[in-house]
Amino acid sequence: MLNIFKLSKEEKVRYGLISPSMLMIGFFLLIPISIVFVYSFLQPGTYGGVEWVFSLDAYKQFLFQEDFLTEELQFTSAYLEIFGRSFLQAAIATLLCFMIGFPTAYFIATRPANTQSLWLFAITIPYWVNLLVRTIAMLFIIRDQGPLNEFLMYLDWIDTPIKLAYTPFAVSLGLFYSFLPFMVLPIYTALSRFDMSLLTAAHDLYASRWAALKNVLIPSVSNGIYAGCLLVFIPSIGSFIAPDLLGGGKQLMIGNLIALQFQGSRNWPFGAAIAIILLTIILITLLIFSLRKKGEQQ
Amino acid sequence: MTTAISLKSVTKKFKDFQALNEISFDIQEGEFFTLLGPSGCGKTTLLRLLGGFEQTSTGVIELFDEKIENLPANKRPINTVFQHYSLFPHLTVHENVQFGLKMQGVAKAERVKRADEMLALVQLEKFADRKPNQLSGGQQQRVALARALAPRPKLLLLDEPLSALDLKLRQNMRLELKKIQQQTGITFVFVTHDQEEALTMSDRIAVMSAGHLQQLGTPSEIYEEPVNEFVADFIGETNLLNVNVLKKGEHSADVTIQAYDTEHHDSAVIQVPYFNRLFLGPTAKLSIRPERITIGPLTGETPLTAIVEQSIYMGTDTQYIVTLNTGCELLIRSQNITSEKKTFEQGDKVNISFDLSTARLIRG
Repeated sequence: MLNIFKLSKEEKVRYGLISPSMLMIGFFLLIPISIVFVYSFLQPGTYGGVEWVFSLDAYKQFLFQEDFLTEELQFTSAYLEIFGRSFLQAAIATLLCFMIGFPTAYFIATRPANTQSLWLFAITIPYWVNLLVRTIAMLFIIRDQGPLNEFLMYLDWIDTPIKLAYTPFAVSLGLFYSFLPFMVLPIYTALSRFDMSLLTAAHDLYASRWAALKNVLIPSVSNGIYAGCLLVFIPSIGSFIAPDLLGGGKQLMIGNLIALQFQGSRNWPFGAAIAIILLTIILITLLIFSLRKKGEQQ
Repeated sequence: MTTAISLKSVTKKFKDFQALNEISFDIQEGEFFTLLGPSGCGKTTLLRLLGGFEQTSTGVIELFDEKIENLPANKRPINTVFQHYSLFPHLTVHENVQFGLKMQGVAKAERVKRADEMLALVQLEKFADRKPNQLSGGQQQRVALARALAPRPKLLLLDEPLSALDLKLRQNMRLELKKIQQQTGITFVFVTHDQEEALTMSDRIAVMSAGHLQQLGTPSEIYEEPVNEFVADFIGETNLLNVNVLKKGEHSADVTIQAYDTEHHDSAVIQVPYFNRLFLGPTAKLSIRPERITIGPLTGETPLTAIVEQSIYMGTDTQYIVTLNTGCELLIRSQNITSEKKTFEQGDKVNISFDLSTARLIRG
């Protein structure tokens, strides 16, 4: 146990300086998560809220449903499908973000030093507008009578509008657009620390452009790519607005499912349980990744 | 002897700036060839043209009689040791050395064997599994050398590779580089602004200035027979005295050392050798190396008397700055052969003499 009176002056200063951030993390992260964790093991109240009775029903409900007549538990994949869809959507969004974000970050990192901050600034401009407004704007662009379809029809490339709005692809597109800067910024940071003369060295040692990219550039900035992918993937998977608006409520994702439990269904413990399951899956994935990365470095 | 590299009227222009002007010369196979010049003289640009990192504006570059000026860097059998090493930080030393072979598609077993050989050559076998950032500057330098040598290039380019090392290490690496060059028999093109480096290591030196080739020759030719004022001044230290050419012979000319101002008088007529074109009149300069001048006590009538302005003890030598009776300053270096203290002090009147055959007349 930490004994405040036995600390040296240096240690007191150190703990003093980190205490505000520790308090922030404690109040706004640990306590809310603990509440969610506790709620997931309780029973739902009739009008929302919880009854303080221990129960594993919330977790059972995730995989099984009670047969109305026989009251037997039957396996159901409905919620697993939502999880699967969420992972797939988030993966597609991450891939799109990488494919667009990496060249963008490379472009910015190779501009003259004094213009780089200007380009970064330009990247962030659209994000001054609220996410909800941007997502609705995107819906207007891609809908059947939207400017995208009108333009393609004007070019005679298509005869009838392509159905884009309210499809899984629209959700991916929305997620991609929501989180693109989170991919660009860490990759840019890694690239700006990368010594471009290493590409010249690779070129000198018989590497084609593609080989230099694959063998030198990408491995050197892998930390940035890794960070970018996490920063896009994790918020994407729990995203709420894009699937709700662009998927037209048909493409339910985990975020919507959780929201539904707290609002419409008034089943707080089940919502809390889903949140805890998602959190656990993500933490395990991260742990595996970081262990593998450590293994590679040794 | 076979010609390894042949440059024919190579020119390089960057927008309005003429970096290289009609450069033509040949480098022989197995030669240690140095491009020497001050920064901005075009030596690095020339190296980058050879490596394929820049395109020639006009002119032809041939590598063993094959035109290569339009080949990209990765298609040229030429490797480079970069100034700041440019080792791949995410790869181990061994993987760095293997890199070129891997890109050439050499099988893994062969790759490992050759990388081992190269690391043995630079005496870094023990460090094979380290990352570059765990090595000292000198060790990184050797890894860069091993990496560039591993694919057995037809030509090795070295871009001021020793400039980032400290003095002692630099002197050791000079000897080692020369030894490795002789062991491998690979043609080296070495770029430096350090004349001492150039003189100690090279078979031949190309002195460059402002995008022009000034002189090409062996170290002793460059030092002993500079063709112009730039070369004489850049290579080693020298005294350049304005002279009046009175009479031209076949290999030597009669000259007087010109007075610095009207208060003084021209010196007596002296006869000195020359090696290139010369015109009569006050058109030439006399180059005398500081170590070729003898300084002695004043004894009666002599053609050159001087007053000591400054006397600096430098360990192996003592350096004097004296003013001649014609008003011009001379730098003199005399070896401290005995352990006696310096012989002349500021204000001493001294007698200056030099072997006329060691002085050089050059166009001013």
